[in-house]
Amino acid sequence: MGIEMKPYYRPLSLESYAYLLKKAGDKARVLAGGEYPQEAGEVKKGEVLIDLQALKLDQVSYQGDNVHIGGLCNLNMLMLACSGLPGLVEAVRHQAGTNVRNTLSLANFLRSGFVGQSSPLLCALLALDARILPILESDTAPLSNYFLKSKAVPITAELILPRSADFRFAQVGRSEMDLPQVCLGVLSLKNDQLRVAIDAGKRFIFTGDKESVSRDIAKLGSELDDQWAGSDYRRKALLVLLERLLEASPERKETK
Amino acid sequence: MKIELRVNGSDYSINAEANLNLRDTLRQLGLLSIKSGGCRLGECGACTVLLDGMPINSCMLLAVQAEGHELTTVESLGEIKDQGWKKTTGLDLIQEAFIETGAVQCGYCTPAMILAAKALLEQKSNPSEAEVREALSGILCRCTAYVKPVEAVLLAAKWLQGGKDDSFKLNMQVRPKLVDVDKVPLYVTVNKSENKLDAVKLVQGKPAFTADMQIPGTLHAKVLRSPHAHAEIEEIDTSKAKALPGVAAILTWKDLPRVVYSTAGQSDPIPGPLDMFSLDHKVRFVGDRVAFVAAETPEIAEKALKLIEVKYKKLPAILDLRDAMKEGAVRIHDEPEYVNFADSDASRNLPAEIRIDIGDVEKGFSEADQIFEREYMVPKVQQAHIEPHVTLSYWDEDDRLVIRTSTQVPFHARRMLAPVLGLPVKRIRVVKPRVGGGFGNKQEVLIEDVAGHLTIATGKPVLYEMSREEEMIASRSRHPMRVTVKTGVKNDGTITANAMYALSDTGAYGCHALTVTGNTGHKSMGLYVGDGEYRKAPNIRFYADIVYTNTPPAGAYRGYGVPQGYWPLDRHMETVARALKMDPIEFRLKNALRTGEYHPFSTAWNEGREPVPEVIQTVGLVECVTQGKQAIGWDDKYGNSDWHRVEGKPHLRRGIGVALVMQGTAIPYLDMGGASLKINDDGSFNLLIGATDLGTGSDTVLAQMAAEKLGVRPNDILVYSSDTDFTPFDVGAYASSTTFVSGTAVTRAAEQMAEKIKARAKMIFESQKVVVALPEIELINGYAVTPDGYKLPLSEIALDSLHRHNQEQLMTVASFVAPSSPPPFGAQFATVLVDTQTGAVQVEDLVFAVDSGVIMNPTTASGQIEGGMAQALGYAVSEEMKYDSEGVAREIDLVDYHIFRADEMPRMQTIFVQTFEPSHPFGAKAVAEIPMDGVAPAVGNAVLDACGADVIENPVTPERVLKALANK
Repeated sequence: MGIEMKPYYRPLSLESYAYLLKKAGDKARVLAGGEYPQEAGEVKKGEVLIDLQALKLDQVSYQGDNVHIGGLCNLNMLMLACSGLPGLVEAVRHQAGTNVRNTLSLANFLRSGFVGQSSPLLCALLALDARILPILESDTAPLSNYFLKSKAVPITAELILPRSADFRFAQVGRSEMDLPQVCLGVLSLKNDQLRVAIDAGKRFIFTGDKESVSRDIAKLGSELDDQWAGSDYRRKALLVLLERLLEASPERKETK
Repeated sequence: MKIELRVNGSDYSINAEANLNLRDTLRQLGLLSIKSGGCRLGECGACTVLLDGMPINSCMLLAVQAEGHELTTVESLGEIKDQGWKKTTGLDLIQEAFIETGAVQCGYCTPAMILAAKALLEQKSNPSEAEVREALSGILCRCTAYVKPVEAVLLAAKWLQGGKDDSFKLNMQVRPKLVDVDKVPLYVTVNKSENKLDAVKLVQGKPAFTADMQIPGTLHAKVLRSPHAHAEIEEIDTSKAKALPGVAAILTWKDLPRVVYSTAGQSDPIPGPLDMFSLDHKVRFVGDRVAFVAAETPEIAEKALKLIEVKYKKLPAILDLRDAMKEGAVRIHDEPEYVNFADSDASRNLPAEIRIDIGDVEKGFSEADQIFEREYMVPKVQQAHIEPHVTLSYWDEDDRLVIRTSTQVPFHARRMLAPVLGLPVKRIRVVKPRVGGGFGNKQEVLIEDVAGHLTIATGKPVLYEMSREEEMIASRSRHPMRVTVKTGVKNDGTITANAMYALSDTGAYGCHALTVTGNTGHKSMGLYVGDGEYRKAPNIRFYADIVYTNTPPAGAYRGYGVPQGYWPLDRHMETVARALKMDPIEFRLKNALRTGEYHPFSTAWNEGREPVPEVIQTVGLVECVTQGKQAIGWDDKYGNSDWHRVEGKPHLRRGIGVALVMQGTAIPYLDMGGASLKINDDGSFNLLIGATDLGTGSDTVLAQMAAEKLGVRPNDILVYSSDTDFTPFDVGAYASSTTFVSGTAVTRAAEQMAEKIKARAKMIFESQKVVVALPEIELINGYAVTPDGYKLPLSEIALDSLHRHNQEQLMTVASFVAPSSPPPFGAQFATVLVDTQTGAVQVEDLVFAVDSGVIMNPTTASGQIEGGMAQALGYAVSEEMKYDSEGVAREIDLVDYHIFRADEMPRMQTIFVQTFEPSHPFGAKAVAEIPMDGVAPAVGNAVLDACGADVIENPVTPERVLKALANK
């Protein structure tokens, strides 16, 4: 039996973090910035808290055409880092008011899962084909891998987004800042191709030209039904939003 | 573990559990300005602190995560200037701006807003309104509609830049427009925008609320709640939970005496069935109580809940109100202890029914040229006060049970709790500290018994604070209804008969079932009497069946049934007017009640008591319409096709709508308020009142009335409300009664006090050879003054009476019960922008012109109107509570149940049309509830005006708009 662990650590390097994680085993509870209170309340006595805040995971860097946003950046930092993506900025504003945006880390936002709840920001990130670099790993993975397969998102060291893109976002809620009944993010790709993410009771990603995406949306059926809105309404509203977002973008730029 | 924190420039070393969140840690340090809204997702922002200058939610971080950061709370900002011999720099200008603009209502979220403002102004000295709204968007406020807080931040910015002077003109929304219909006397303090007396402590975040009192050894309560909509508890095993270290008590139905009661905080006898037990062997909705736990920490209590083993036998559940009275429907209340009230019939799932006929309704219909009939639906909605229900109970040194609780009805609570807890009334003391919003939900004796039982069981102090999820699934809400309106009219627009039938869903228990639904008809259908001969003998029918279902109980919510009446009624009036091709306002006014006429329902109904016919003495409705039309630009917009279009956006349509409304002012011959006054050595006064200020500003308004009569400033009146041991009885804060009923009691006490002071002054004057007749003495600016200019300070009179000659304590007591309920009237206007392709509705403007009699305090009164309109805006477009096929709630937090944020509010304007109501000493009528009534129908009518979507169910959601457009 080794030396008893302290209840709280703030490692200064990834190596230290990996060591502590291994040592704490199933008692480890990683603190990756601010989190929703319902999750914060899950901390149990006896757990070893490993706080990542000294690992410099709250940095933003621009590398080539991409922006790398540290997982411990809060949502307001994400907004500032992505000023070249006004659609994303709008989605963040819809996601939460200032306090939550100042407190909630990107890593914990992604970890929360949003089961049964719509999320403008997640919709935008999926449309932007965001990739994440899980902590202690060297390979990035598409965010969509997790959400479309209902896999838990690991602690994110970095979120990687295009630095700028022809990206648009729209939503319909009962009020301007209500969570959406439907929302839709559209990323314009090469050759009139689109990547479209939808959050309308369930989440979908479609790629193709406008016509094929429209057809995909039109094909959606009862999977869009829930207590918040019916599939007929959602389908119709999504097609309207898609049309509008593309109309508003007559000279769509290509995203590399 | 040891945690090092730097807070407000000081270093703290704390021994705490590592899993303690920052909010609770700071509160343990005594920084009680930080509040808890019971959030799941950090949505309320009441726990805001500045972390390295940024406003964050302290519930979203563990305390250890804040090590190495600079924390700031509102306690560091400022304090009042004169702290005895110690002179301070005074309040921060932001705090002063919040006071000056009337931005403080309940004050629960005020420290958070002030910190957000501080962070903004340190980054941006001259922010735009949009930037201020953005900065406040993380803090939910249910009282103010953000109008005055936004103005406060803008004012603070001006002051911080150019010094505090009066050059900055306050927005009209802060100091609303007053238009006199009747002559309003020139008062000194009444009818003036005096600052709220409690605002100073609230901007400093002083420990004024229930949970701010910290007693060592306090246990924390939690409630195990039913996962089933309807079930018998067959077995319940608490042994594992009891064995958990730190658990002090677990109570189930087996442990408590079986006392049937109602949670409705109403006068005795409660006008409704007695159908509830503190704990029962049957559960009737998802969220119903199963067991109570008290433990050393909230976490232990939570863990204990999970260890209680319950075997349920599921029963069929009624989730749709239309199924409740069907043949063969399961009976929800079959307990033998059930006590009927009036026509309640538990065997039919019917806690109340109402049958009111005024005139000859069938004859009226037979005389009509046209008859219009339609069914409308109104939703269940939540009060969503930011401070949850919270109660602290403990035995005092005399073995009396003290219940410190966030309630609107302390005296009812004491009376009602006594049998439930098995204590005589005299052994219970209920103390109401500041209340962080209630809006009717705290007119319920909802959780006081939980803490009380657990204190009795353990002998220890017990704190029970509901979580937001519990608020959503297990407190009270507005009754949802299906309402049919049938109207007969002559072709000239004269209403010949008007009938309403309401099928109302009270949920699992019948609290307020009769009285809320009674008001649905009473205060809406009473507005339209018809014209000509029909005006003299109106034909009105209101029938209602109020049914039990296996959903969370409904109860009192600001407006108390009346918004449920005005959605169908006013939408119907619009339909009829349009069908008759009449101007919608002209049609309404043609048939509306006028001065000197009987309130038609006063001849037939009085909340389960004997009706007393009442003549309406003041109706400012026509002027309300005139003022409201002008403010919203009705004549330029209504019927103007150009205005309805949005250039370049053919899918967008503008619309304008109106609704006329009427409320009530207290319950006649029932609502009673008391007040006592005593003079102090320095000529100040203690005013003790049972009236409960739950953020409305009633303490201030009552002080203004007393001050007016005593010739002093309001801050010379030290108001204390409410404590059942010390303050006189008052029914509490509901039915828009405080200004009218308690205000009259205070005025009477002040008048008696003034007479005593004058008599004492005359004695002193005579001893000084100054001859004066008693009636000639006036009380002005803190002096007793003779016509010849001799004056005596009140302090001299007080010292004389207390110490020098024929000593006596000048003290008065008065009470008042209202013999009438003079209705306020209002004209609500709305403009909207409708997206005809997605159905999205954006409300752009709300204007409310209201006749609430003489306004005691324009700033606090307009705060009431704005806050009411904001809640009603949610009722109009976004708020509703839904349940799945198992009775599980869709909304369990304030994210799913969205209430408006600061950065999405429409423009708002309040206009007070002042009549002088002779039944009140200063001419006042009610303010607080009427703004709930008209917004939804005005918005519905505006949507119809915009695009022809005739939505019959509120809220007017995008999907409903598109469906209505498809049915055009």
